[in-house]
This record gives sequence, C-alpha cells and structure tokens, in this order.
Amino acid sequence: MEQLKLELKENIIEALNLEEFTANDIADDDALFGDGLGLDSIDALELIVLLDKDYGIKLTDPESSKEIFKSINVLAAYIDQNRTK
Amino acid sequence: MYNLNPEQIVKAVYIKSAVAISAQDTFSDNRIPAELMPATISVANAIQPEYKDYISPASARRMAPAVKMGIAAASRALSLAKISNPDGIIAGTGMGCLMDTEKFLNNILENKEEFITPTSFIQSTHNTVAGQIGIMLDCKAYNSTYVHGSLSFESALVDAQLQIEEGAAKNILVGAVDELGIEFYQHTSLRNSQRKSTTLPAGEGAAFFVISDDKEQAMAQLTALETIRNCGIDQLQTRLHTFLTQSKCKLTDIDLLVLGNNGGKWDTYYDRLRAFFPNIRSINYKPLTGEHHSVSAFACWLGCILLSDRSRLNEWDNRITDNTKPRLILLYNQSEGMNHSFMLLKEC
Repeated sequence: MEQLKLELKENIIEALNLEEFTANDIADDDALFGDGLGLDSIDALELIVLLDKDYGIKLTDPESSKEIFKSINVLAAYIDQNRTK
Repeated sequence: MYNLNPEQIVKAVYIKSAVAISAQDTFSDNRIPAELMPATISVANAIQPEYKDYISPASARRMAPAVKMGIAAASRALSLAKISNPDGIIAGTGMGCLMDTEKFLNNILENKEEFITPTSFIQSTHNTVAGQIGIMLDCKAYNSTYVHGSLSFESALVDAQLQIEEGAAKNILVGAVDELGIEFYQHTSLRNSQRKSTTLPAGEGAAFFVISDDKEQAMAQLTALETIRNCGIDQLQTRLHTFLTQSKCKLTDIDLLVLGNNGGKWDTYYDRLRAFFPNIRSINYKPLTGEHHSVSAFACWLGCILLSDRSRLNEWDNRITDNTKPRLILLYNQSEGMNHSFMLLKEC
C-alpha cells in the first residue's frame, strides 16, 4: 500500500503539473481539493482519466468521486480494492 | 484600407505602451537588444521573464509558454499605460498554443484515442491567450483573437484601430504571441529549407500594446495600417504609393524603414521597397528575434521604442550612424511574397 501511495503522488504531480511539489510534500491524509492541495474541477477530470488509464477504474458517479478524491489514503484504498490492472 | 463614413469624426490612434518578450532581453526594461543572436542556431527560444511576478503558481502550472508570455507582456503593457481594465482585449497568433496542441495530438496517438485529458485540449485553442488575460483581469469587455498566418498581429491591430477611430473604445489591449512548441519546428524546417523561406532561426515571442485615443504620454501615433494578401513585386510601388497617398504622406516624409528581411528568396520585395528610399536609414529586425508568424508585433514594439526615446536609438550607434531621432517610421513585412503589411508610426 505504501508503494501505491508513493506511485499515486508521483503520478498526480506529473499529470497535474504540480511543479512546486514533490511526493514528500503531500501527506497521506492531506485534502486534495479545497484547502489542501487546492485542486479544482479540471484537476478532477484529469484524475478520473488517470484512474481509468493506469488502474482500469471507470468512475461514472460524480458524487462518489468527491469521496474517493478526499485524500491519498482514501484514493489508494479505493484503487487497491477496485483496480483491474 | 477601410473607409469610414466621411461625416464621422475619426479619432487619432496612439500607442501608450509597448512590451515585447523575444529571444533578446527586451522585457526587463524595454531596451533595444544590443547583440544580434548567433545566426547558426536553428531555433531562437524567447528569454522567459520571472512569471511569478505576473501569474500565480496555481494558474501557471497549466500554462504553456505562449500563454505565460502573453499574460506577462499584457500585464506589463497595462501597468506602463496605467490602465487596469481595457475596453477590449485583442490578440493575434499564427499558430496558437503549439505546445499543448502537440501534447493533445500525441496523447490521442499514444493512447489510441482513449484517455484524452482535458487540460491540453483547453489550453491548445488559439484564443487561450486573450481568454486567460480576460479571466486574469476579470475583464468582460470585447475579447477576440485573429489567426491569420503572418497577418495575425496586423489583423488584431486593425480591429483595435477601427474601434478607437470610431469611438467605440478608449483604451484597447492588443498584441500577438507565438511559441515554438517542441516538435512542430522539426516537422516544418525541411519545408522551409526546401522553399528557401528564410535563413534565420525559427523564433517565438509576444508583444502587447495599449492603444488609446488619448495622446498624453503616448509613445507613438499609429497613423496608418494596411494589409494586402497578394501583391506581385511589380505592384509594390503602386501599392506603397496608394498607401502613402491615403495616409496623406509623401515618400520624403519617412525617415526610417523597419523591414522584415529574413535571408530568404522573397527578400527581393524588401530590396525593391528599399530602392524607393535611397537616402533613408533602415533596420532589419528579424535577425534579432528569428522568424515567426507574429514577429511583426516585435517590429511595432521596436518602432515605438525608437520614436519615444532618442537615447534608445543611440544604443544602436554601431548600426545607425545618424543619431537623429526618427519622426515617421514605415514598417513593411511580408511572408513568402504574400501577406504584406504597411504600418506608419509617427512621433508624438
């Protein structure tokens, strides 16, 4: 799981061009949206594509996405349980 | 050249500020570059300003160089003109946001048309620069982008000129931007080489201006501007004569030429035009910047600087032996024998 969290942080930094961040700057329970990393709705679309492309997870319900993208901890747990690749 | 209703009072058009980002250090203090770039390089990347002074890191992370250059040049032009919210934002670009276009198309190819991400698509559209400037300023006024090849800047400027002349606006932010991208040049350099289009490096840059109906502290007056799609070399004299006549100007009134020679086989147009002005100084500006679709905006910046500050001209002593400040500058540009533009800039 720790390896998955690190991989997720690195992929998010690359996909969202978070140039001023390293994986160490993102705590596992930091909020990804709002006051945490400050991601926005375009970033949410990028994350949905990232989950589909890298882990074979298709998110279709926007309401559930809000919960899944709460933090690295929540996201990694969801990927671990639902990944198809 | 357009015609206004003869009964309408045509307002004069002034350039209040001019800012350029180019392969030379032109942004920091609006100075004329002292050194020519090496002619042997194949691409001339623009010197990028310190963007954090103009764009928040959260916004900048999605922006390609074209957007950042455009926002920085536009912000500084507005600041120099002491204008916070213009009556219009008009941009020109030949190729738009090439870097994000490349990313978007490569994504489609690499992922077999699946997993297409939104950011590069959003950022790849040609009107991204003017749109982002509008968002940044919270400016809901007229916002338009002209994509007319090597007449993109001139087309934007004609729009701005018309709006000022007709009294539809008092201050307009107008400019042009083009970026090199990463791969595009490699795909087009062979074509340019075969067509002998230019011997100069491919360039990039941005130049923005605030134009106004207010003369106070203006750098220059834009007295006339004309774009011509097709003009045979033997028609050049007639077209120039018509342009100057309509501008109520004679050949002998002009005391500096700013020309777009690029070493290609169509430089014969510049040679022909130069011959009409045997005793007048001329500057070839493209060796300073490289060649790109909106490089004529750099020429306009150069003209404004030369007209507004005599000391700037003195910095070019080694190229211009006569230090007399120019009063009326003719800018002429064309691309591969097409897309000709004449522009007259006058001292204020």
